[in-house]
Amino acid sequence: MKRNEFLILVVALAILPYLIQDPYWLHVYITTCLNICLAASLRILWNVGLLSCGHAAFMGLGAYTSALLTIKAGVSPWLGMPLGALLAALVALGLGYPALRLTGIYFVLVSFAFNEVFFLIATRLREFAGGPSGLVGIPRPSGLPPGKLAYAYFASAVFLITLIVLLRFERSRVGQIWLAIRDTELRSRCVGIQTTHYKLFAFGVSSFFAGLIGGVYAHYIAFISPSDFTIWQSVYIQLYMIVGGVGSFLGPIVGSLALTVLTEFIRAAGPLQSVVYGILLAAVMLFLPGGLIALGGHFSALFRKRTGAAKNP
Amino acid sequence: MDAFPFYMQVFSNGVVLACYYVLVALGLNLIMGIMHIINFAQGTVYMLSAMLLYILCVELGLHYFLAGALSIVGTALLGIVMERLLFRRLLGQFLPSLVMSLGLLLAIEGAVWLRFGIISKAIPGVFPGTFDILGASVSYERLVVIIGGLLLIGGLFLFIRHTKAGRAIRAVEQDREAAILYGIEISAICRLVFIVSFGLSAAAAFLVSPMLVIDPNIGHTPLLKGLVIIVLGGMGSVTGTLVGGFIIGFIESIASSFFDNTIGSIFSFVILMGILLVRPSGLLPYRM
Repeated sequence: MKRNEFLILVVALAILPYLIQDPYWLHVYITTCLNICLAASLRILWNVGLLSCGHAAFMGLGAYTSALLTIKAGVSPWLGMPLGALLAALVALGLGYPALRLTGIYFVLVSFAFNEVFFLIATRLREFAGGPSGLVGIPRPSGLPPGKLAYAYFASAVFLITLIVLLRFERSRVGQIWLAIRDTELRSRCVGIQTTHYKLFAFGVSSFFAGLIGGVYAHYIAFISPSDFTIWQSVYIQLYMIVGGVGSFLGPIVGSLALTVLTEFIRAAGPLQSVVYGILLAAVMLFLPGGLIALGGHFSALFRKRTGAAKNP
Repeated sequence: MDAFPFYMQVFSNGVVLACYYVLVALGLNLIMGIMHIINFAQGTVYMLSAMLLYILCVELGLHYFLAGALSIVGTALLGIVMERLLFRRLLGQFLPSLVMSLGLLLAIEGAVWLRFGIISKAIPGVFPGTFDILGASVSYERLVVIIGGLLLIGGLFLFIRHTKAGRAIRAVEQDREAAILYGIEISAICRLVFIVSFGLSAAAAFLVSPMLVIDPNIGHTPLLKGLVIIVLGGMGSVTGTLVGGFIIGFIESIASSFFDNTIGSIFSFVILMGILLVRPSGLLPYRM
């Protein structure tokens, strides 16, 4: 990111919550920020050629860890959130060690099953984690003034930090190696890259941010239950990423923004939403593999063709 | 001898679950072996054909067997349509086809939910009554599921092993290019695999629907179990799927008798991770 673009983004993030003011749209703003972070962190895995069907479980791990630490042990949320993220990353490493040595198909299956198991365990721990009815009364981070505006600024800060870290990863040497593994895994291994280690690392980073966002979400919404972190939630995160376009860093951002706002407009709860999302997901895969981002490219190509034709008749 | 009826119950439960899961898992595994995609909509297909059965049997009042035959044929036709219009376009692209099947799952379940609501429905049992084996009572429903399931699985074995089409399927699975060189038409094989796999899921729905409830979400359980079974048994391996299915079926039956269903699911996940650590190719990997 160039310095000017960065400054524009910071200014926009600083002004936007203040301009919105309305509590309902501030809620949408916060949700959008968090969804963007989730989709962007999932894309780290896509860059290594993996698709996780368990992203929501890692989000849930972070959320539950932070919430339980603050409620049961009286730890400050400021410490709880990173600890939750750390635990999510550690679990990802433990899970990835057996699963990532194999081809991507196994990883999909294991992450899918893991999400289900997370849901089952969270539902079962009745005394400790509230069972199906979840945890209530998760405290706000201390020092944050009451109201949605303050939390919107906090979410903006988390958003900014997450995106910068993810972008730095992508542009770094590690990021290049990830892409190399995605494109030609065998060749990467032949030149001496420990592909499994790099995949594990990507899984850890991705899950760390999922856990972090989970914590931020839990302390915002003050109530979490296992049904917030189901497989379908994971699929929705995939949807944000894929509909936006997986090819570029901007893709998940555009996708989450478009879909979160779209969801607010159609106001479709439950079945209708899943019909719309499902058709969208299948249609993007069939007809627009590059996602919404590529749509912009198509249009500008069309435009250039037109103007080009005008120049040389 | 007191405990015997109880163990008999656990055993028959396990076999019923195993037949149910194996039928769905075989469909998943066939598609996975031939087309190298995970069809996440396989459980949804099971749900759809159970719904179709419900419509034909309860709403239209057809005889159970006629309704079953129609729903199996209808589901197989759906398989042809899905393969031709959707999956063929993404042949060979692992992640896109997987994501598309997830989209199908969401869309179909949402649509069924919109049309029929979330309230579970039931198909009245067709084989009422129980009979006694050595002091343990087993319902006729279960016996029908066990016999029907085993017959279907056996039939699939014979089909894969001994018919020309089955040989062609195995040939494509082993070496796609060589199979093409020998004049096997890949697209015909893909269609065939979709028909068989959707038909098996529909048959599972036909067999177990009278024992279970029907709602838009019933597809998730067989899908999840099917995926675990495939990893357990080995991808592309029919025998492995059978063995894995029986292991998972019995674990579930034992766990739900002594603890509850959740423990069974968690335990099968632990087994899955263990298998991946120790024997990643599955218990009975496909041998050429």
